[in-house]
Amino acid sequence: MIEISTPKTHSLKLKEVNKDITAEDLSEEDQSFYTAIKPCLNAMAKNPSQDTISNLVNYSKSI
Amino acid sequence: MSAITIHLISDQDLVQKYIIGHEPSLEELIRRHKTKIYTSIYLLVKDSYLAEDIFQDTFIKVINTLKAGKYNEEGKFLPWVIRIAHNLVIDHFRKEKRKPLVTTVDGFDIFELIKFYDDSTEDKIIREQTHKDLRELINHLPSDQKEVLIMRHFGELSFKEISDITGVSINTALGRMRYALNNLRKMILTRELSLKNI
Repeated sequence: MIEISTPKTHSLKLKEVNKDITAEDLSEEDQSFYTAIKPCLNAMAKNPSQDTISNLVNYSKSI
Repeated sequence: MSAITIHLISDQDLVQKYIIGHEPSLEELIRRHKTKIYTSIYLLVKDSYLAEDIFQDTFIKVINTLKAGKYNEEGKFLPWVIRIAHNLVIDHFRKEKRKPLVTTVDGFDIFELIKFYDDSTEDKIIREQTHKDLRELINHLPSDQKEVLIMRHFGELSFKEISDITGVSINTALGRMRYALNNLRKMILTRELSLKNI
């Protein structure tokens, strides 16, 4: 007789993966509110200065 | 390699090219992710000069790690960089012996509920003010909730990635996102801020 079993670690991993659902884990109400405030959140985006980026590029080339 | 071609290359391939000496790959990685990373830092430290410093320190660590051949290819590039940035932000607050501001909603002006739907100048002014108001509300969220909201929105990280970075369970990360949204909704209602102005 062949015994078939699932390793304990495997089943735990599957549970973990299944939990990693993003938007679907929020309720419909939360999701629609989040969608409503997204334009505002997007408007908060900022960029570092060009000087900072140039410093990094130069640093990388120097080492 | 043309500028157009490099835009089509995946992060992972850019990392590999950079490791073997292709410097423009680093520039492309920075260009691609600078807004997400810088905004995530800025919204936590709320100081543009400090955010510039932490952004720079973050990429110095990235550069040193990649050049030393210590990059773990199993992870995605952006979550990895955000983790480094997050740790540097925590280091900063530890050094300063303070936490990011957690305050009440006291002291806010009551927003006027005016509805404009066209793109008039007045409408634009109101929308900009509404964005400013909401930004302040976000700043008043408890730090752990704000952190998850920022990482989720600007870092586009999954709750699994957020949980790895912040050292909490996926359910806790998700719960913090829910609390953040609920608290924002309550604050908006309290302040009569109209989402139609957003």
